[in-house]
Amino acid sequence: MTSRFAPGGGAAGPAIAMAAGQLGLADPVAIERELTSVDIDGLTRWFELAGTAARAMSLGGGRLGDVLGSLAAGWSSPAPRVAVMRLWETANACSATVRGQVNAVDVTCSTLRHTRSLADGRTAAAETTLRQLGWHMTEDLLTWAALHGQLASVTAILATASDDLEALRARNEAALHDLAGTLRNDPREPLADLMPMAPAADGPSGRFYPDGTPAPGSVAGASPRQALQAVDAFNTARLTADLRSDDVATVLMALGVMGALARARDNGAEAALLVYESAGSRGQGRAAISVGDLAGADNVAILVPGIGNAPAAMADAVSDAATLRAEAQRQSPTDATAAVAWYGYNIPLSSIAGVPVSPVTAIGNAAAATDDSNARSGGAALMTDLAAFRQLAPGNARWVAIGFSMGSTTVSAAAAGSGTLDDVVLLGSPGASTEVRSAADYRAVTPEHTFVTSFEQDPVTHGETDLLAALAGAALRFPPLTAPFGPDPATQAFGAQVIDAPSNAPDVKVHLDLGLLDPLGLTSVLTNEVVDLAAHHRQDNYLGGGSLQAVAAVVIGHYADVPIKPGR
Amino acid sequence: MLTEGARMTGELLVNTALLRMAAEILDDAGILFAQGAGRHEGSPLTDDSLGRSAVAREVIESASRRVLEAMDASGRIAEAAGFTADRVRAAAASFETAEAMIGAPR
Repeated sequence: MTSRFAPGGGAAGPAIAMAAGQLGLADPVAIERELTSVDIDGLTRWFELAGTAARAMSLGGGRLGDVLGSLAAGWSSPAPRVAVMRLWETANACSATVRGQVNAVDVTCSTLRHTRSLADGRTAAAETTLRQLGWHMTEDLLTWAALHGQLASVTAILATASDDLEALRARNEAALHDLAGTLRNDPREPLADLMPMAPAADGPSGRFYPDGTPAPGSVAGASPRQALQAVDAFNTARLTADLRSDDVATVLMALGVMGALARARDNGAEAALLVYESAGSRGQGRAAISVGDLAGADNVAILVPGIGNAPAAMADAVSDAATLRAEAQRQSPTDATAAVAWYGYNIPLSSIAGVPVSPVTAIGNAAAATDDSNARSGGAALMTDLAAFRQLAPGNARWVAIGFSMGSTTVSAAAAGSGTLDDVVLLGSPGASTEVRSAADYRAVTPEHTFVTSFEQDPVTHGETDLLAALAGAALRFPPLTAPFGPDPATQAFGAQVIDAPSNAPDVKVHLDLGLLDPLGLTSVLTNEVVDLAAHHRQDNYLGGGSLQAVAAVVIGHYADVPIKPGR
Repeated sequence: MLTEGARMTGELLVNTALLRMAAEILDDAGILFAQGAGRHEGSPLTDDSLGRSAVAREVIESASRRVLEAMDASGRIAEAAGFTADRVRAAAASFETAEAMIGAPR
């Protein structure tokens, strides 16, 4: 940069920014700083690696051409020549895609450089003009302008600077938008036809489950696909054994998970049983089912359910996972997406889903719905399972954790702990857990990668749940907690990306006229809360319509397609 | 034996020396392909390297992924070239063994 001033107008920057704000103009200082601080060299350097790959594929392809003569003369069968030709075509196709992306980056960088040079010093130039009018930066700019009859001139100078910089920013955004489109293609796509030529997979190697509760990643030395097959086979064997159990809860869970697996495979999708731990009289058990080819996935979404669920009844969650995966594939056909229905934490009120447990366990499980204790322990379990799941997928896959209701509290608690996630999505959240005060407290993900959908009609997201939980919790503990699920992640103060999407359920309002029995109409208010809860606070409502499209766009990393609005 | 492509219906003619030469060229090609899958220190880009807008973050996200995929593609093609070379060499060795057993020149 060649500016004589620090980016953004130097010493007079704050005065100019303040005056622009008072005039309702976009802050020219902030825009200039944004435009001049883009890391063009970093992007260029990074894509030099892609350029090297493109050249290597091109050179290697050229060398393959030299093979054809020897093969034709050395073997009368056309088969080896066909194989080499396919390799050559694949290399050329991959190289062409990468070259296209490298060129697109070059073009975009050229635009970014140009706008950077035009933006650099633009605010300083405005400052110079203002000084020529007689303004000194120790004076409040607009007060000085009003006193000296220069308000029109000052407004024009600031408006021009602001407009100029906004136009440059729009040019940048357009260039980045074009680049985002080009970068949506996976350069490895042509390799799909080549894979039959690749070395055949050997049987799984490594140590297999020395005890009864293995982590999936324990298949040491195996490829993701081999490990996935081994884990699925092992868990399926446990499930099959549970079908013969004397414990009703154990059999019910096994049957439920078996049904969920069948649902996952209904549409021809691949499915695998990633976690299976038996239910019994002392607990609801744990299960996780992946929909789609996890071993070949570019993106993996993990769905965490809310209260009133149990592994014994996870078929609907598997359908939601399939729906999310289908939408992600629709938006980005060249990326492979898998979705995992994760029933891996002690879900409160699981008896609603028909889990027969002992009375003591049932009371403890119901009490857990009054605070975030299960969500916090569930968050740690989620990150442990996720670390194991990573061994079953490609190393560069994106991992997005999506939680609904208490599941969102669990995902939030997970993000506050160790490990990494590419994105988190909190749907219909009663609170982000008491582990965090804002998205800035997350260790696994940044606020820019934290997304929240809270339908305005959903009472759970408005603190009613806190109120009810506090009332219920007051009977169980002293003193009662005022925000037992933590802060509302849909507020501006929380600092997440709030998704702008409407509820898919119709608004139904009930009016109950009980006359003297209810002079304040409280029964109607309460009834409408219950109606709203039933209609709007549903996982399939949050994974439908515009909300589904937005969540799928997050899963595949198409952030530009995610509509965002200011928080509450 | 390679199984890709059309079936042979005519006389089989093989020159194993040329097949070994073809395998060496395939190995050369594999080395060239592998140069595209070199080591790296990871993406130098951070979330707001290109600004804080959604499209800027999407570009960062895609850029990080696509470069790795390009390198992965080059590496996988290198593997396929090496594998094909091995198969051609194995075929040559099989022909030579068969020829030695039959004892008749081809």
